[in-house]
Amino acid sequence: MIKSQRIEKILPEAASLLFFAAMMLFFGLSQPYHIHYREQYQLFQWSWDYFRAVASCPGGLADWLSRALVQFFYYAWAGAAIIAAILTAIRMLLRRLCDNGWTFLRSFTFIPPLIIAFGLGDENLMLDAPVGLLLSLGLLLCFKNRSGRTSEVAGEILIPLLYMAAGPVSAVYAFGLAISAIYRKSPVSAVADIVLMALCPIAAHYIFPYPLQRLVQGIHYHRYPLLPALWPWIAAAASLILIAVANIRVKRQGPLWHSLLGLLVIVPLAAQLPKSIDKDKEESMKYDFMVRMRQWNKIMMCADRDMPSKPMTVSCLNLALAMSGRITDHQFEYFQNGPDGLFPTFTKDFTSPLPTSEIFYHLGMINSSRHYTYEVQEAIPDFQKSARCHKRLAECCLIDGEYKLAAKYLKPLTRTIFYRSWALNALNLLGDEEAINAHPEYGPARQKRISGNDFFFSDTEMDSMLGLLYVHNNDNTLAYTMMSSYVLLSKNLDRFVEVFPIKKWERIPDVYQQALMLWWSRDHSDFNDYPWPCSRQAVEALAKFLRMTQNGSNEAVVKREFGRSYWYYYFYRYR
Amino acid sequence: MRPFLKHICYLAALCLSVLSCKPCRNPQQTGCLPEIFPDYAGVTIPANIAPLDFEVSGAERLEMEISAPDGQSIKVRGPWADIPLKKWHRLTAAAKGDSLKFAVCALFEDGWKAYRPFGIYVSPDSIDYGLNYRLIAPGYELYSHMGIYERNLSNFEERPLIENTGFIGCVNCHSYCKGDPSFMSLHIRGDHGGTLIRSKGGELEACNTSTSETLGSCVYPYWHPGGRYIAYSTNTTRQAFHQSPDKLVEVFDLDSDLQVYDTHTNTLITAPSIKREGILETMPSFSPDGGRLYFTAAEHQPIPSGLTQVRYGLYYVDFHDGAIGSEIHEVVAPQEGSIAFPRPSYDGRFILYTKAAYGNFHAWHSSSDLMLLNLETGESRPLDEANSPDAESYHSWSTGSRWIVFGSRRDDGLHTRLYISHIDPDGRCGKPFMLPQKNPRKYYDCHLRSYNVPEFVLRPVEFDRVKAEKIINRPERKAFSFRWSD
Repeated sequence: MIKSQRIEKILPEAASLLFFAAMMLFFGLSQPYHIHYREQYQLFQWSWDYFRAVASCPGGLADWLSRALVQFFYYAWAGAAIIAAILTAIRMLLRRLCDNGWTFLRSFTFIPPLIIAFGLGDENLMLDAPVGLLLSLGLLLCFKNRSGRTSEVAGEILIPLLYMAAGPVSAVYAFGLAISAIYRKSPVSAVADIVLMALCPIAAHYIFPYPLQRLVQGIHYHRYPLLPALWPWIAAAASLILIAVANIRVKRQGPLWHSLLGLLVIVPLAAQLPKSIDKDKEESMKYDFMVRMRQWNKIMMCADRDMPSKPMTVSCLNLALAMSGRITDHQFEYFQNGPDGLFPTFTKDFTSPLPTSEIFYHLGMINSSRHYTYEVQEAIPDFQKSARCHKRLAECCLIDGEYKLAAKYLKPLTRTIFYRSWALNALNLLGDEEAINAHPEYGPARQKRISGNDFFFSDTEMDSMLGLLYVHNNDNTLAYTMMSSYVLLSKNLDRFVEVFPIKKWERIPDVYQQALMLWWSRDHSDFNDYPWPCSRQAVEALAKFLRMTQNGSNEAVVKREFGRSYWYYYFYRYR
Repeated sequence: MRPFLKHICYLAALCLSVLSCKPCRNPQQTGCLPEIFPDYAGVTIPANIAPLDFEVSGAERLEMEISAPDGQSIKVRGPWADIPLKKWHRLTAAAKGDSLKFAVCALFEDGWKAYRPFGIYVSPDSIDYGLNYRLIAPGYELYSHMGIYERNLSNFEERPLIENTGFIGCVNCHSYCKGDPSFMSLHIRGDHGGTLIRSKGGELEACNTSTSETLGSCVYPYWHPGGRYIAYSTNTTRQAFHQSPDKLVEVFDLDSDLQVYDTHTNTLITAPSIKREGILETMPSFSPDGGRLYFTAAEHQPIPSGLTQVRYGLYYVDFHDGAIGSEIHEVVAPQEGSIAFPRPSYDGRFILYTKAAYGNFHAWHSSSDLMLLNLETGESRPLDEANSPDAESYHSWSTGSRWIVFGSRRDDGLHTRLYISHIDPDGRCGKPFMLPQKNPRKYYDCHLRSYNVPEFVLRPVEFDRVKAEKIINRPERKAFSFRWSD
């Protein structure tokens, strides 16, 4: 084989391999927590019933395949590889579909997968549309270069079937057939292809309980039912344009180096990819993931590198500080801005209550953890169930002794790959009171939760609820520290002085000393009768701080010296 | 592979599978009843009910023979009692007024066990065509996939009438006039809120039931037997969340009133007797002759401190041709508990209601039990034959007044399942049976939604889902007018 022929043979595969590696690195490095996020909002089960339930609506097979792949997003790099593989496969199919056209078109086949890659920066854009596009292009390739009435009819029969399997993105297949028919000067076949495609969602509207809008734009293409999955549709349109142009009969395709011309478009396009990443969301997802995995030290290390500032991320940090026993001494070394950073306000969505439910779980507020987790699962816009939520609900029921209910949450998890062994172990615990009470996590959780002295949850009385938890079980020091933290973050010094003595301290933590001294200084000019131990240095430091604030010193100056103190928070934060 | 060889392989596989199913030989006689799920031993069923499939708990397989008094029988084998439909109905038809006998053997790790046969009584009273109910997750404030479904009671067919995949919102409080689906009221909540009403089989209309004179949108519905009026409550409802492990949610009204909608004049009618200051009137129902409007009412208490003091009693006012009586008659005082969902039987003999320690949303109260009030004697008794240690809640009568369906959380303490009981003209209640399902263990284990508001229907509901979704998604709503009763 002559050299140029060898290069021509190897170049497309090498380009695809390079593309795969680039996409894998892009997704793996820039948005690993977006990948984890996708996995936790589904519960893929290896069962016939699950397959039937998912695949029995338009786009169902693509949906099932997409979910089957997303389950491996349990590991971020596996997810990155899968996404890269889908994008590369789309490119390879397009490459083959554009074989007959001009050489320069070949590099343009990277454009549709790059568009999809850009779109996947939206964590709620599901993989259904890219998988559906893959199925459609694959089927279209089977009909490439086929002609004759039999072939046309076979192709037309497959249009509604592919619509059922892949959803409305199968229009690429139908329009691809039509384009091919036009070039073969078979307009009747082209019209039949387009009409059949248009009829599919209309017919489906009378069979399936979905509005026409969703049947046209894809039932599960986007997690929010009424939002269109814009980027895959743009990619589909770009694919069709490429296929249409590639079908133009050319006398000479052009030299091999023309295939590099596309780089002039692709490189600038690829350079836009980082703009698709929402870094704030990635950070939130990262913190949520670390809380889920109980990576307390890692949370603190991340915060040391890049201080979180949103309620959700700050609450994750505060939980990590509390779980590692560092909250009393170190909380105010980090950005704090009110009690929302401890217990974020409940919002009716499927993301923000999740870390808060973790906080409640560790506190022993099992009902509240269950409540928030249940709400998250019910709020998932595409009605999927969540493996993470099922696991937490099972744990709550197990702790509460509701074994029949716990079994209902555990059984679906036994039909998964990554939760199966945990679920089987949990199933073995059901009914075994001794084993549960002796369990290092469930036993203490049972002891911590309120029993007998019931009260209603009130998000404006968190300190009272936490105080009751601590009084119920003095071993629940987390409840005490969170209660003190809540009161301090609320700047309620009077309340802090009430709750502080509930626990006996050998040495009062520095932050508590600062709060007590501040409270005292409001009504006293000196510390002569101060009821708690304090050093002269501390008194002098407070005096200096108060002088600086009263003299109107620049906040930056005050921050430099006192930025890690409670005093600074009290005067300059949460206004 | 050659076709001949292929056939040989299939035959061999079939033989192996048959041979590996060891038949029941020389079983160990236990002398006791089998532990079956659902517990159908000793229940009373109508002849036209779907097969009562069940499993023996913990068993790998079972073999069973069902015998009718005339000698007909069915033999069933398998991992669960998968009873064939047609044969089942032949058997139940033959056993009307008598019992079917179930002789069960079950295979465990240590071999076959034979149990004492049990009977299922087949009532001569037939049951209505089907049930309509809502399926929704037993959650807190949010909900995912839900809808109104229709179940044919003679088989296992269930079809969706409307689901929230077709619009953003929720559906609830479906109601028919004595099981006749040509009279229908259905609430839609959410961005496209409204009430769909159909009268006398006419067109569905989307209505805005809220007026400036009433508390808000209409909630609990009940059709007047004449089909012209619908009694509604209006409620300002809130939720609170317990911290103690034995309770989860508390649902209560801050305020509530009653009114009656006249479908002919498009008017909401109310009266001072059912719209009193400081009194929570709710859950209306009409007597079968339409002459009385029953309702529950409680004195307002400060919330949350007085929540456990909120006790609803049962009352009625006269109703005649749109005129609401001014005198309130007490039927059951709220002495030892709180009453909810009074439902008169269509034969005028009884009122079925639930009673719990306090409040009116009894699905979340495990103490909630069914009570049967005998209207002739004026005495209420707990329906001990049907009650369980967990919550019994919403219930309704079949149109013949011989069957009741009610929701119960006895299965796992959270998910409401439907049970059906026979009640004879003297108020004696048969053991309830769980709504039959094919492979019930698998079905109910995987089913994470609760059954709400089961209502009997006489025939399949004619409901054009596509048209209904269009109506719901359009903004137009027919407004109600308001007047005080004469």
